[in-house]
Amino acid sequence: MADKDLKTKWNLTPGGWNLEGVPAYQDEKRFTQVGRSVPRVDGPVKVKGEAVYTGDMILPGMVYGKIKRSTYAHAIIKKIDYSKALELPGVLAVITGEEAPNKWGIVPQAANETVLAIGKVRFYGEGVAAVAAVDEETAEAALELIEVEYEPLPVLLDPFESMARAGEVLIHEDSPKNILHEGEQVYGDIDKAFAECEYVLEREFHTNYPQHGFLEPQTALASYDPQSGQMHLWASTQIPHYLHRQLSIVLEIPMNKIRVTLPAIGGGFGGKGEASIAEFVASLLSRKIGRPVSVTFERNEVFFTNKGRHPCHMKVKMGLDKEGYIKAIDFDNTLDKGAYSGWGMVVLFYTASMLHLPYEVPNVRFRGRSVYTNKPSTGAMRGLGGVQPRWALECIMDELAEVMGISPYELKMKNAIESSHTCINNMFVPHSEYKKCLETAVEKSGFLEKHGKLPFGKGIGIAGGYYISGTAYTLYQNYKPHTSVMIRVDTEAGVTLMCAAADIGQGCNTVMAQMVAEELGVHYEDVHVQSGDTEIGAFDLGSFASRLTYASGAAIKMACVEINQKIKETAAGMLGVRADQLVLKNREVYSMYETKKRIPWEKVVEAYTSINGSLVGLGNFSPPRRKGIDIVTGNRVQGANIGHSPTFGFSAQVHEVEVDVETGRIYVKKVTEAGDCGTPVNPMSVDGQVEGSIMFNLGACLYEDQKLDANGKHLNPNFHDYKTPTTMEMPEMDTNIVESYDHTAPFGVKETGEGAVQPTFPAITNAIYDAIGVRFYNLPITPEMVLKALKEKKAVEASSK
Amino acid sequence: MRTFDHIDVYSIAEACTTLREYQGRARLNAGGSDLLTVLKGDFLADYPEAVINLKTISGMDYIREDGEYLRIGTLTRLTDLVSSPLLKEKYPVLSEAAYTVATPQIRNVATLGGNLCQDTRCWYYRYPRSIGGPVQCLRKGSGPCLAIKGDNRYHAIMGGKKCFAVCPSDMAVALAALDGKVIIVGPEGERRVEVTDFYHPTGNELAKDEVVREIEIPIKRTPTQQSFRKFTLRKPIDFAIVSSATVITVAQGICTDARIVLGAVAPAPVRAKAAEELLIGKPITEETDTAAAEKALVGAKPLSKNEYKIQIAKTLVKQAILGVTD
Ligand SMILES: Cc1cc2nc3c(=O)[nH]c(=O)nc-3n(C[C@H](O)[C@H](O)[C@H](O)COP(=O)(O)OP(=O)(O)OC[C@H]3O[C@@H](n4cnc5c(N)ncnc54)[C@H](O)[C@@H]3O)c2cc1C
Ligand code: SF4
Repeated sequence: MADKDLKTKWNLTPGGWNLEGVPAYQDEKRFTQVGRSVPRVDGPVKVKGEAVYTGDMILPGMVYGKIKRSTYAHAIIKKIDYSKALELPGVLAVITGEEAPNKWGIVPQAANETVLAIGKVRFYGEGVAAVAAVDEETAEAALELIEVEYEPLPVLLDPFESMARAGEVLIHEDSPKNILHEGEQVYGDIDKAFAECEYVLEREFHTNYPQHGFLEPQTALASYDPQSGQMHLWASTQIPHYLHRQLSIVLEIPMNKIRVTLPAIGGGFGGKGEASIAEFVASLLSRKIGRPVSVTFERNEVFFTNKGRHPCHMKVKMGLDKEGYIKAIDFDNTLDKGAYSGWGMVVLFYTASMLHLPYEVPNVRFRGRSVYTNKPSTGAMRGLGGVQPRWALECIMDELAEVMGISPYELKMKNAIESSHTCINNMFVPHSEYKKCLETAVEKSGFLEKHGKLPFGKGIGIAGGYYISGTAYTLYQNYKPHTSVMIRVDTEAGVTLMCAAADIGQGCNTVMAQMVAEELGVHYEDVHVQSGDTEIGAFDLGSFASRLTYASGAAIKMACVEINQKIKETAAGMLGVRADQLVLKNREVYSMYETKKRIPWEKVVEAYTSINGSLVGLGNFSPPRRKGIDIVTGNRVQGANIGHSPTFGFSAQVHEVEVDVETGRIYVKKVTEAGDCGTPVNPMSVDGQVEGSIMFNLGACLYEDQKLDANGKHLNPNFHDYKTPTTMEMPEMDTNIVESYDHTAPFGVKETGEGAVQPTFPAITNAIYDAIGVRFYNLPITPEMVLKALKEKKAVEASSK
Repeated sequence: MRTFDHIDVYSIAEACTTLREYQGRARLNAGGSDLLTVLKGDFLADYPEAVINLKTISGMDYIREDGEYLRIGTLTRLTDLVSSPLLKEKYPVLSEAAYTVATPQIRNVATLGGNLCQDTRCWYYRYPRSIGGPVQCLRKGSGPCLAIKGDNRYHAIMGGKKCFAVCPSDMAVALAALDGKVIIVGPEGERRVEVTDFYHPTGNELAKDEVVREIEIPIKRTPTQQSFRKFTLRKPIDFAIVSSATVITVAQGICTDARIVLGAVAPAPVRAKAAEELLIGKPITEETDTAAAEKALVGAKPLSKNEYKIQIAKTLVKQAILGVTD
């Protein structure tokens, strides 16, 4: 958004009219605080290095915890002898799995992880014991004194091998096929549809095993007070509530005796969307010794415990009719779960729901299974469940467009959904500007002029994508609102928003302050945000599923109703006008019909509080709980509750690449993106999210992959060998926010943090095809693969001559 | 990281005697950019009792020509190699190579001596001790080389005998193309070793009590054309997948002398002598260039996962040679 536009919105006339002569009260979109590119509230302290992260904290009497990790990917634990470790001076306690046998996991139906392994280890690097000692060196020395005797079991690293050998080796005794969960969803008549199709294509796609690469490793500081039985945990997490709940289960302490606080957090991207062993170990050790215990993962422990993106092995079949309308998708997905369930079931069914958008698809069959292997577990990672199928679908559409002899842009436009769309699985999209995204990206990049016409080695590719803006259900059976907020207004603290949202670096504290300011009619600078604390704040599910802006926005609006009503009633008396004719904007309260009747907002607050004390408003938000049914038959479909969202964000991307045909290296030179994020609450943050999203998956598309050796040992558990792109790999970026406003959403907002990761894989892959005429079906696409493919291509061309 | 004694020394001789006192249980520290990663990863069988700080020795950072030789002190920082007007003008292959190393922050502390003596980057060798103790492999003196059967995508395609880790130093490649020698000081005095001979199958030429003092490069009397090329997966930070340094003398359109060196393909920088011979006496054209590149890789024996390096190496040699003609 140009500065000019912002100014007009921001500069209302003293009478409360905008420069086009429209009174603010007549236009719900006429915002003054929402839509401002304000610097992030946490920006300056982070830039100056003054932000306090969990690992920076030191409490009186604090000691350090370290975790002993398994040296087998699959083995029975015969014996753990830690007597020597306990004798080492400075060692305060050692714990093993038996001390906390309750299973945890974010999806309670499948929870199967214990804090430390009990009886058996299932991946290389799994925790088997933990030590508390006066300093880290002593704790490390103690780990070496712990003797663990193992009886090795066969190591299963490939999901297909894991299924095939389930008769002989089981990773979890209660999963007889080595499968966490399998499911089928059928909508329409897939066989009939394919039979009627003019164009049908079937392909297999295999994705890689990347990790988030957040900068701050998992860190926890637990302080247990033996007198009161109160546990206080500071942790680097995205999900204070789910962590809180699971701590309660593992520690067997009621939730009201546990407080979770989030200091500054150095990124998560889904990796901190599950509780971490660091948090449990710190808490257990602290309870055992009665002193605060700090546990910070080394970078290699972040890799060992992983929870990154699921490798997916996908068989995709898509059929189009003569005109190019998509008639059917048949999708078979085998997900590599790694050792423990975590988010697994949810991810499985997200890969199913992702088939239904952003194009209209009348017949869909999904079959999928999430398979245990002896790898560090996979989990939630930015764009959860969407990135892999999106890659496959957008690539196969590129191929189909070629077969049809039309531009992939035309094919996408033809099939793209519009506002008020109900998918066959009952997912409802209230609002979509996806077509506008495609148009903008194509126009701005000159895609149509370049596609298929660039010299060999240069290419351009297009892809689209979407993501949810929150979910419909909590992960455990419950009907409570997903977000509650409390707003306090008085002369002492001004405006304070109290909530338990987790600002993990995505900037929610900033946009929440903007939304509160908008709704109360004050300025963003006037709002204090107290978030990330389960005791101070009200309830919030956490930072995942791109839910916060929407959910907090809705709760904030509700909380402000009560406050604004009281402010208006008070001001009405002071001004001698009717309360329902008052407008709150720009720190003033004024009559919408007699603009000279106005009074500073603060004066009204003073008047109110001097009689009644602080003004408090409570608000909450529950998403619509749409059911996963087949809209044709009305039947319930297993797993199809997953994927519903109050609204959806969209993105289209055009990537331009250069392939060095001599060395195989791929350079992404320019990215043109257009996104539908509804109202951009903070346009500067939207740009940051979008650019970050693109870099995130540019990395996983071209560089990032965790490598395990035949024993399941992690070969690249460091940022030297695990290659994330750096600023030097950053292409030229042209990101555009398309005009969009979802009337069903608070302030018209949608997500922007995960939709923009979706098109990156396929846009790059399609661009590579445009450059060198080779389609890749495996990730990441490395120089090695490019060289090999070019060689094979040459050989084929030579033999056909 | 564990604790150790930290000893400042004030002369190379003192460094040698201190090394001798500790009988192999001390390590030299220059910029520390490699040593600290080794100590933090704690992946070697023995942890040093002492770290000997060389930075307190004054006058060891210099770049100067005297009569026959260009001399560079061991403590010269890579940043200084990048910005030296003398190198830029007469030995650009050195400043170009230095510029490709890591990042400005690392070049600001990394020294030339440290760069040559840095430990291997093989991911088996560097496996952190924290799970299961240090990984054993042939280079560490026990067991087989794990890369042969393992994931060897970044390992040697030639010259590997026992250990297949490649020499990580870019500076060694450029120095080899300039016929550089390493001057080593020990209790018995000084000796000189060709850069290409400085590396051994499982380590380097230094005895437990020896210290690198200087790099010595014969001054070329006739002007040469020099070039350094490096292929990495990402632009900065990454070590070479392959690199190539060339120093070529051309008189009246004919190549009269040539040094073509390949880096990151073997445990030491490799002089492609056959390719050099092929070029000498011929004009440098697309044709001779391609032939030389092919020659340079004759005898390459890739491991299971690194055949792609051959093609990249050929390309780099070609580019490096052509780079000097344009
Ligand atoms: C992220 C990263 C990227 C890198 N990328 C590259 C790259 O692309 N190319 C490249 O060439 N290098 C690269 N390096 C390695 C870097 O160049 C070396 O770490 C650096 O040059 C070492 O110099 P130093 O002075 O810091 O050595 P130190 O760390 O102080 O020492 C390194 C080793 O040399 C020994 N040593 C030092 N001085 C002497 C001496 N005078 N006599 C005998 N032994 C000595 C030490 O005992 C130690 O074993 C990279 C390093 C990092 C961390
Ligand atoms: S290549 Fe060398 S360092 Fe690496 S595993 Fe083999 S012997 Fe060890």
